[in-house]
Order: sequence, then C-alpha cells, then structure tokens
Amino acid sequence: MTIRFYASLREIVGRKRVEITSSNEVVVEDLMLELAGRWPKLGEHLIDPEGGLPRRVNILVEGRNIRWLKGLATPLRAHQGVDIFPPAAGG
Amino acid sequence: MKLSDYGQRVARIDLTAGRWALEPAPADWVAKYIGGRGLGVRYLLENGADVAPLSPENRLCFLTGPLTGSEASMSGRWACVTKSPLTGTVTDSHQGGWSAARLRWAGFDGLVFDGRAERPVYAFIEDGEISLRDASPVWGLGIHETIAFFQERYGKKNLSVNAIGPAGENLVLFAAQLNEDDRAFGRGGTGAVAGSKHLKAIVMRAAQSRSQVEDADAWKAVRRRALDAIRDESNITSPRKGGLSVYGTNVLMNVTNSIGALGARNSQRTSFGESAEKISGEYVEQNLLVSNPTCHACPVACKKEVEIQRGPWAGLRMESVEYEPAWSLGANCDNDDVASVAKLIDQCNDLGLDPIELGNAYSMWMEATERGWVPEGEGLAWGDRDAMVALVEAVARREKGVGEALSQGPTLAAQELGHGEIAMAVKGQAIPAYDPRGLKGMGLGYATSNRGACHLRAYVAAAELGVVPIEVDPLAWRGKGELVKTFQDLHAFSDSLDLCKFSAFAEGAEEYAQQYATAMGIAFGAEDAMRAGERIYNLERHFNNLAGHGRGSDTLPARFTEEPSSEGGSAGHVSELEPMLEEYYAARGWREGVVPEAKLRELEIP
Repeated sequence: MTIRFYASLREIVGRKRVEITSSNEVVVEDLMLELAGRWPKLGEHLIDPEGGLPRRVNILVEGRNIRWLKGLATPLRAHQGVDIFPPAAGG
Repeated sequence: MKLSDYGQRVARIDLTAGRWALEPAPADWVAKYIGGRGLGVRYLLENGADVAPLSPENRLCFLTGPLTGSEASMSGRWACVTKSPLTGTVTDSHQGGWSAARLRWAGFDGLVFDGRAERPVYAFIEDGEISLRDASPVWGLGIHETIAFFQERYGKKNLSVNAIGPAGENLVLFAAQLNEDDRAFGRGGTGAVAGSKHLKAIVMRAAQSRSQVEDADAWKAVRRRALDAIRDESNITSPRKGGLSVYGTNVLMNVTNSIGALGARNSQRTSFGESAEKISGEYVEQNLLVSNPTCHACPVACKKEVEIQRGPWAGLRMESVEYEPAWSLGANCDNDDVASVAKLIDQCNDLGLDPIELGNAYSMWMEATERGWVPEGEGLAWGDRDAMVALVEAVARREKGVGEALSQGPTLAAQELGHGEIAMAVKGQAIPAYDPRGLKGMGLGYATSNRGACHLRAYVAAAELGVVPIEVDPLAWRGKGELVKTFQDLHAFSDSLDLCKFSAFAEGAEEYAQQYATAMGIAFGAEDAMRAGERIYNLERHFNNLAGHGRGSDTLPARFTEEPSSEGGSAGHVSELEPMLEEYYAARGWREGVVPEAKLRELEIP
C-alpha cells in the first residue's frame, strides 16, 4: 500500500511517500507500529501512549479519517492509500 | 489610545459635499454590536436596506474593532461594510496588514463614507484630521503603482495605503481593495462601491501608539493567556511549528484533495488528484518561499512571500499563494502550474480583483466552452494559463466580450449564457475552496452566509478537519445546523472585535470576552460574546430580509445536492442541504431564512 506524508511529517520522514507490502490481515495499528519502528520521531506523533487515536495527527484511509471508520482497528488492503497529516486549516 | 473610548472617534465623511465631521457612534450601538463588522451593519441599517449598491446613496463603512491596533495578538484588522453590488446583501470584508492599526493610531475608530465625490479623491488621514485630496494623478493606476506614488509623496515611514485598482474604478462587481500591495478586502465588491464614490484610496500616516487600559495588569494577563494559546505547540498557529505558520493557508490543499473536498473543473470533480501537490503549501514552501511577512501584532506569520524562479514570470515576487486563490485559479480551472497561479494572484492584487470570484468566473466559462455554450472565438480551455493571464486585464477594464461578461462574476455571466446552473455561487457570490459534498457543514455555511457563499462566516471546517477539539464527521449531516449557528455567532463576535479569524484556531469565546472586557473596563463573559454574535448575525439577516432576500434564498448550486462526489473520501456523497437547513432554522428560530419579529425583540434588534 501507499503511505503519503504531509507538512511537518514529510520533513521527519524525508520523503513524500513510501510503499509498504503487507498481507490482507493488517490493520491501521499494525501500520503505525511499523512506521514508528522505521522512524521513531514519527512514532512520537503516531502512537498515543494511552493506546488511543493519536491526538495531533489525522490518519486517512482512502480519504476517510479512521476516526469515522474503525479507528486503529480499521483494516487495510494492499491496494489502499493512507494519508497522514498533522492538523491543517486556514483559507 | 484609550481602548475604552472605542466608538468615540468615528468620522462621517460626506463625499458629495467634500466635508467631514467627528460623530461618536451611539453608545448603545457599541454596547450591542461591539465594533467592526457588527457596528458597520448597524450603520448600514440606519442608511436603509433598499439603496442601489453603486449609487451615491449607498454607504461605505471602514470600522476598526475595540482591540484593533492594540497589543492584543492578531489585532491588525478592520472591516469594510457596505451593501454589495455582487449580491445585493450586506457584506463585510476584513483586511490584515497595517492599515487598520494605522487608522486607530491616526486617531480614528472608523470612517463612514456617504455620497459621491465629483472627481476622484483620496482621504489623507493624520493626527486626528482628514482631508479629501485630488486623486487624479493615480486614477487609472494599478494598486502597486498607486501605493508607490503615495510612498513617494508622503514617505514610507509610518504610512499605510488602502486603495482600489482599475477594477474598482470600472465598477467590476467583484472589485477588491488592498493595502500593503497584497492584503485585501477581497470579497463582495467593496472596491466597486469605493469606485462608484470616486474614492481611490485611504492614506494614513501615524506612528504606533500604545494602548491605555485602566487595569494594566489584567490587560497584560488576558493578552498573555491568549498568546499562550496561540503559541501552544499543539495548535496550528504555533509560530514556526504549526502548519498554518510554516506553510500558510495552503497547507490545506493536500488535505481537502484527499478527503474529496477540493473541487476541480468547476466542481465537476471533487479532487485534483496528483496535481494538487504541485500547487500545495508544501510545494511552495520547498521551492518558492523567500520570506514570512506578518500583520500587526501577529506571531503566526501565515503570509508567504514567494519568488518565481523560472518561466515567463521568473523574478516575480509576490505574496501569497494562499489556499483560496490557489484553488480557484488552480485546481478549479484545471491549472497545476503554480507560477501562473502566483502571477494571476498578483494581477488580482494589482488590478483590484477578488481572485476567488475570478477563478470561479473562469471555471464557469471553461465549462461553458467545453459544452459549446460560449460565442465563437470567446472560448477558454481548461488549464490554459496563458489565456487566463491575458484575460485578467480585460476583466478589470470590462473590455467588450469575455472581459465584460466575466466582470459581472460567474452568476450573471452564466445566466446570460442561459445556463445559470453552472455558476457555483450562492446569492450571487462564488463559492470558496471547500466542496460541500466533502465537508457538509461548510456547505450549510455557504448556503446560510449573510454575504453569499463564504467559508469564513462559519468555518466549521475547523471542527470537520479536527483542528479544534470538537469531533465532527465531515460527511455526517446531522448536528450541523446547531454547529454552523454556533460558529457563525462566535465569528460574528470576533469579526466585530476585530481579531483575525485564525485566532479561533487557538482562542475561544472565553479568551475573546476576557480581552474585550478588560480593554473596555466592563463586565462581559463568554455567554455575552455569543449573544452579541447571535445579535449581529440576526441583524445582518434582518437587513437582507429588508433588502429582498427572503424565504428560499439559502441555497446551494444543484451540482452539490444532485451530482455525487466523484472521488476522494467523499466519493458518492451529495450535500443533504434540506435537512441541514431544517436543523439550522430550528436552532436560529427563523422561518425559512426570515427573522421573525419575536426573534428581533428577543435580541433587542435594532
């Protein structure tokens, strides 16, 4: 699957996107742990110490915030795109 | 500058007679409508709702707020309030930069212009005095040259200039006014009203003046609390760390693109796909950014000065490639070339045009061209950036043909083609950069905005995008009625203070009320702020009702309610406007968009 990073998170990772190969059994929490393992500083944003949704990062699967799906238990499929944003507004 | 004296120094300027007089705003107006936007609407109501917007009978108000020019964070704004030639509604537009503070330091809380000068004039303001001077040397000039002219004449030091360009002089219905070359009273055609009055500019000269507040310790404490919230690293306003500060407003481009709320090709699509990246805040920050200018008393610095490096516009330095115009002249027109977007925005800033309206006029014309509805030889192809750049001047000068057609905005231009349905507008004003199918509350906000389609009256995107700690699903419609009302009321109050809208990403009614209460030396709490906001919102709606905007005027283009979102997170969704409106009217206590007498009495209007 394709993971895209934006704004300050992109600067931490050092690239716009990464491709990750996974089985069909993966959920968002698994992905977050894997990303945190690769980029510990990113992990500080992705992993809530209390096990909940990260408070200052929005994780979107196919454009839907996982907050409105099944949270960290949201299943991920190989063809799906995941976007990870810090909060953003303005205009 | 004694803040509690706010309202005492309002100048009433009769352009027809060429004279002015100081006339304090009535105390009960200040108490009930606060300042800025609210006080301006009260002046308009006094003038009557049925005036023709471009006639001498219309009134043009420039009102600072009680905190403007003070040490309060993000207090560098003022409101321009008038009856809009674009919508026929009341309109209020707000401008950052330094002019607002400068007016206050020069000794005035507001300027209320009536009549029409026989010849072009500008108002020169200094040391509590106003003189109307001959503007013929700058009539016809662009805004950049106009400002340079006054800087040459009066010196750059402590000088601010708010001006119209050729678009305002030529009565283009969406003409803007700008100060500092690039900070606009952008929406609603206030520049055309100034043009109709032959008012080219307001030129102010004043050194910074410190605020006097009775309880100086309390004033310092409440400002500190607000500043701490703005600086908090968890907020997007956090200087040099938060997304708004680092990338500017255009940090939104990739977000709305992903969720399916970024209209493309005149909102026929809801995402710009991979192309969004090329016009995004991240791209601009990496490739074009040269500096981060600020407005008065702002630690956020969301403005982004850029320099174009290559191509036909290489060397152009301008600010800013904001989210709104990057969308309207970019994704919305199928244009992924950021250099041309910067060029187009700078043209709008110089000629005095609202780039949101222009982009929507272009995209409407592009769709009409594709469908074969425009006259032979007057077509505009999707993403034809050279043609877009070439056409701006023709619009500003209302040149016969496409220029004249589009100078009316997309609504009237589409109606002339016999296809009003392809104008993406509400009450005659074009939509901003949030597709109502992907952010349902924003759609309701557009429909019920008192100045025509507008993202800023409610800005519930802050909740729908998870920026403020209210959890709201952007694709759910239930609960949006109450939410939109609450946000509209809060922002009606903050626009009357007049603090920058972006302060709301860190502050709330409590912080606003504390600063207002301390500045004015009165008891005033968060509930009072929300009630004042509600009163102001109802006053505006009452004005609109009197001006003929009655039942059924709160609408959205059918595209958003009938054509499902094409892609992104919102794929398959439409706007459920009708049930949201039912909720909203119930929360407001309105009858299908009309404020009943009982509500007016309850809110002590007028």
